Amino acid sequence: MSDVHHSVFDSVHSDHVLTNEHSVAFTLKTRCRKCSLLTEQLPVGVSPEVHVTLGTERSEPDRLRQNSGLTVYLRDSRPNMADEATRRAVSQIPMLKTHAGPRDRALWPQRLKEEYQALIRFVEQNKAADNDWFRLESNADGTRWTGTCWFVHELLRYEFRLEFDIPVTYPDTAPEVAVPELDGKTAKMYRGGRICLTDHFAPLWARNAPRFGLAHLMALGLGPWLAVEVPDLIGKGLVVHKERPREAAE
Amino acid sequence: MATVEELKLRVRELENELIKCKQKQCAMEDAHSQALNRPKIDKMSAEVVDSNPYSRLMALKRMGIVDDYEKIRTFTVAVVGVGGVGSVTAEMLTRCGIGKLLLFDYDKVELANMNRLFFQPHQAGLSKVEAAEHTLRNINPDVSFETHNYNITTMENFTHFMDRISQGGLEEGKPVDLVLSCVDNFEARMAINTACNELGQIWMESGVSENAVSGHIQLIIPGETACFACAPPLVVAANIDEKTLKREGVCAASLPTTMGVVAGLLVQNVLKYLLKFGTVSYYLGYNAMQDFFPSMAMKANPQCNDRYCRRQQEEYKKKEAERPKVEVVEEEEEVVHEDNEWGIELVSEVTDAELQAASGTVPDLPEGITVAYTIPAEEPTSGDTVEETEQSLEDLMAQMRKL
Ligand SMILES: [Zn+2]
Repeated sequence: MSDVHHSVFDSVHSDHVLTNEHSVAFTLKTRCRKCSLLTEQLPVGVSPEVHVTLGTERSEPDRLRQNSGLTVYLRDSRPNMADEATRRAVSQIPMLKTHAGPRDRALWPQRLKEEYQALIRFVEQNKAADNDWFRLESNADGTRWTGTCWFVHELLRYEFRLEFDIPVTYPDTAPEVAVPELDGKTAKMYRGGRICLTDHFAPLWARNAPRFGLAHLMALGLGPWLAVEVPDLIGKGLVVHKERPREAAE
Repeated sequence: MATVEELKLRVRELENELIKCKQKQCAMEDAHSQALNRPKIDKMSAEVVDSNPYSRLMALKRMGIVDDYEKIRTFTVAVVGVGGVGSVTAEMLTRCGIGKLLLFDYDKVELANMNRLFFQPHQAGLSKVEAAEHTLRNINPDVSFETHNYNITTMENFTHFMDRISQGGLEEGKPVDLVLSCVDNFEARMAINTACNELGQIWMESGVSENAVSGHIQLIIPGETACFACAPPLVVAANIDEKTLKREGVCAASLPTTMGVVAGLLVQNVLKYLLKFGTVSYYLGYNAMQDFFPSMAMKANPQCNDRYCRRQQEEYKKKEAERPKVEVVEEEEEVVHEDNEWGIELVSEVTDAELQAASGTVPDLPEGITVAYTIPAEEPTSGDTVEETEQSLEDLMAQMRKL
C-alpha cells in the first residue's frame, strides 16, 4: 500500500498547484486495470480528496500529512516563481470569443481582431510590470506571424527572431512557434527551430480552445521555454551576446 | 605560413574538385542503375522465376490468402509524412506493387535521421519526397509517383493537399483510395482529419510515442468510426514507471524497431483493407515494453467538434437505415472490480472548483489504451473576454506595431 501512495505523490511533485500559501489540494482517482475506467472509488481508508499542508522548511523535502492518516513526502511541493508569475500573467490575458480559423472567411477577420486585442493588452501589461519581452505582427490576412522576443540574463539582453504560421486547424490546435536561429543548438527543439513545449501545454490548450489565443501561446508556450532554455544555452556558450566577442565567452 | 587569401583559394579549388567528383560519381551511378533497372511490367505474372519480382506476392493467390492480388495495381495511396514510419510504409507499398503513391513531406533528409530505416547518408540535404521517389522508382518502376514538398497545415498548401486527395488517383480526377497519416505532430494529424472529414475520405492514422516504446494504427471511416477529433488523442500505455521517466533536455526519442513495427502493422492493415483478406483492424496498439497489442473499435462521437464529422455521421446513419438489418447478439463481458486490481493515479492537482472542471469523461477503452488527457464538458469560466471594439483590424495592427 505505501508503495502505491509513494508513486502517486512522486509523480506529481513538480506540478501541483497551491490553493493558498500553505496548503495544496488534489483529488485522487483510480483507474481500473481491467476496464481502464477512472472512478473516484478508492481502496478502503483512502479519501478521494486529499488536503496536505506544506512543511515550513523550504529546502527540506516537505513532510506532508493527508487526511487518511498516511504520511507522504514531496521533494519540493511549491511551484517556482516563474510558474506563479506565468499563471498570474495568463489570468490577466482576455479570453477570445470567436471560434474561427483562417479557412473561415466570414469569421476569421473577427477572430484576428480579438487576437490583436488580446496581444495588445498582454504587451501593455508586460510593459506595466516591467517585463516586456516580445513583439509580434502578422501579414495582412493574419496567417503568418513574425516578431522578436528577448530575454534578459545577467543584465544582458538576448534577442531572437520568432515566426510561425497559423495552421488550418487553428484555434483547435496551437501554432508551432519557431526560433530559427536556435535550431540545432538545443534538443528541446524539433526540426526548423520549432520549440518543444511541455507535456502540460497540449492538454491546457485543448481544454481552453477556442478561448486561448496567440497571447496565451506566448505566455504559456514561448515564455516558459525561453526561461528554461536561454540561460542553459548561454551557460553552454551556444548563445553569445551580440556585443560580446565570442572569445570572451569562452 | 600560408595567408588567409591563399587558404581561401585552396578551399575553393578543393570544393570545385569535390563537385567534379560528385558529378562523375552521379553519372556513373545513373548509368549503373539504368543497366540494372528492369523495364516496366505490363501484367503481374505468377510464374516462379528469378526474374519475376511479383512471384512471391502472386503466390498469395495460389495459397488462397488473397483472391485477386493483381488488383493492387489499381490502387492509389497517399502517404503524408515520409519520416521514420512513412518512408518504410512507402517502400513496403512500392515493393508490393501498388498502382500509385502520392508522397507529402516538407522536410529534408538529415544525418540525425540515420537511426531510422530507408534514407541513406548520401541523401542528406535532399527533400525527403525527392530522395524517396528516387529510391522507390529504382526498386519498382511499375509504380507511379507524385511528390509534394510542402507543409500541409498552412492555408494555400492545405487547399492543394485536399485537391490532390480528391483528384490524384491513378486515373486523374478520381480520389485516392486511402490516405495514410505518418506524420509526427498533432497539427498535421488534425489537418488530415479535417481534410478527410470534408471529403469523406477513408484514411489510416499511425503514430509512435515520443518515448519510442509504443505506437498505434487506426482506421478512420468518416461518419462511421471515431475521427481524430472525436476523442482526445489516444495513447497506448507503455506501463513505464513515471518515476524513472525523465524528460529533461529532450523532445523525443526514436527507435528504428518501433517505427518498423508500426509501419509493418500499418501496411498490413492497408493490404487487408484494399485486397479484402483477413480482419481489418480499427485500432491496434503496440506496447513494446510488454509486447502487448491492445485492439478496439470506437464509434464516431455525435458531439465531435468537427462539424464535417457530424455531417458524415448523419450520412452514415441514413445509409445504415436503408440497409437491411442483421441481428447481431453482442455478449457483454461483466467487468469485476477487485480490490487489489486498483492502481492509484493522480488526475488533477488544483482547487476544488478547478478540479471539477478539469477532468472530463474518459471514453470506455480497453486495457492498455487510454487518452492523453480529458476535456471537461463545461467551459472554464474564469478570466474575462475581449471587449467589443470600434477599432478596425488595420487600427489594431497599427497599434500593435507602435507599442
Ligand atoms: Zn469526429
